[in-house]
Amino acid sequence: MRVERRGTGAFMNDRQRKTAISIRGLIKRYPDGTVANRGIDLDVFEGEVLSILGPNGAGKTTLVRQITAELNPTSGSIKIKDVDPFLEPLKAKQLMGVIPQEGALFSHLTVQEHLYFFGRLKGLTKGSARAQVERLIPLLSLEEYRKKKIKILSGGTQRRVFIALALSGDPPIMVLDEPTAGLDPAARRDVWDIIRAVKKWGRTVILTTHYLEEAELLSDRIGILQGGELKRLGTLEDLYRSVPKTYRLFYNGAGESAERPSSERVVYDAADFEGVQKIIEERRLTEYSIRRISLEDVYLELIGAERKKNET
Amino acid sequence: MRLKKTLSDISIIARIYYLQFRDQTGKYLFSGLLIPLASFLMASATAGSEPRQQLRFFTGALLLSFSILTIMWLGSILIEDRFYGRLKLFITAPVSPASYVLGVLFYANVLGLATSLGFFLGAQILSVPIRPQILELFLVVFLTLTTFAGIGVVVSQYAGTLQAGGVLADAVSIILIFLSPVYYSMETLPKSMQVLAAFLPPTYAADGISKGLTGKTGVGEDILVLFIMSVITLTVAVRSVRWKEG
Repeated sequence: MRVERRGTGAFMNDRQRKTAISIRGLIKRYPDGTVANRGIDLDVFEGEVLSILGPNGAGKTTLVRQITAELNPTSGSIKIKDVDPFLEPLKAKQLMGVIPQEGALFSHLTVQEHLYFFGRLKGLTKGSARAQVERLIPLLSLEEYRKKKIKILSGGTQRRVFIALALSGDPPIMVLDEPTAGLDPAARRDVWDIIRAVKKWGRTVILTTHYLEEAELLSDRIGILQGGELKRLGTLEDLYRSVPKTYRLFYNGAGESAERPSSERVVYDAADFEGVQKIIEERRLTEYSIRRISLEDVYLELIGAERKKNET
Repeated sequence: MRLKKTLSDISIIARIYYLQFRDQTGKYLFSGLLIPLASFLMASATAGSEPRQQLRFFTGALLLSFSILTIMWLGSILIEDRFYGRLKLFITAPVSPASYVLGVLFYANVLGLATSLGFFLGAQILSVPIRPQILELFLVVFLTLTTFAGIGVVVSQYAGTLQAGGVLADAVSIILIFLSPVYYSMETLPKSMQVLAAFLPPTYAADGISKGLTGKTGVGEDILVLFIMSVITLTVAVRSVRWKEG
């Protein structure tokens, strides 16, 4: 499948970077005939945060579950630092810290018990697992909850415990499937801070999300999945450049024509800043606002265009 | 190295489930001890307290306890783990499905063996005439618990929904005990039921436990059949665990 990418700079850089996850021609067809992933090619580079966006049913979770060796692909290949998760699932899982979308913690265990036991399951010795508990608890601001059972913790704190679990065993790759789903804005910002810190520690992060703001703030690159296909992949700048009109001019259309109501707000899209200036001069506008298109605009344009294409 | 990791995983998974038990001792006392004790007292009161009968009812109560603890209770916990998403913590960790199943079985065995000790102490208080052969009895109890816990794992994996799973675990647990010649002898069953009972693990567990408790010979046959049944159940349990979907 073809991924639209504008500009060659990013491509040159990509070739020089080390790949943490390499996906080629990934197709997933479920037994009921639904094709959730249609030939995905994707490289996730070491040390980057890559967000996967897409509407419900786009195939995000299917993609993640194949990476985490929970789901067999119909065809294609995945390599986690040269390890095939289908042939060597335990070895691949050792390389990844995962927050599954519908995962839950054991309500009867305390925070430190979770971290200790799952550290041990990641292969740490008793001493290393204990040391890790002491390292992760302050790192994720869980000091006051360390001896508390999960059942009394808020959703945001539980999510921090999940992130601590994903970090246990020091895996180089983090796979986060909608890590902030269902969290209030403050808790979401907490999680964002942790993801930023994780990136600073040199980890590779692949995350799926419905929140465009989250992808915009956290990601080095963003992929947009639609109908099981990776429709766009690149940096925020690449994505802005992938739509024909990147500036948006807003002004009051009062008196511009007889048909237009005087209060109507006019939105004009232009390919570049010069185009916006031209409109301002031509229409002698004195009151207006200009903004560069956002990820939301790119996303909605892409999703809208796809929907239209599917309808016709 | 790999064996060491597997053994470590098994013991950690067993400990995780043990800690859950730690929070539910009241439920354990009620379902694992009181209900079976009530069944023993009720059977003794209605069918008489002749030593042979008492021994049969005692064996029945012990097996009912095993069935409640491993299939009904543990099965329900595993069903909840699956539907609430807790199983995902194990699936996404570098843990094999076999380690998970063996960890669950290990926990079930520790719980069941401790319960058995409680029952044998109770037998002294209730004046049930027992002369236990420790090794034979240990093997029968161990294989019975392994088979029952394996059935609990299978039930938890095949349940379509959380609610259906709960009902299924309860039904399988009770049906296994009451369709098998546990509280009554094989001869009292109709022929067709005898054929069915020949395939049910409690049939051999009851026979083996009662022989092991009275010092009779012939426990070896029961141990052999229970061993085969536990291997089959274990294999089906490991294969049924949804670690990876197709």
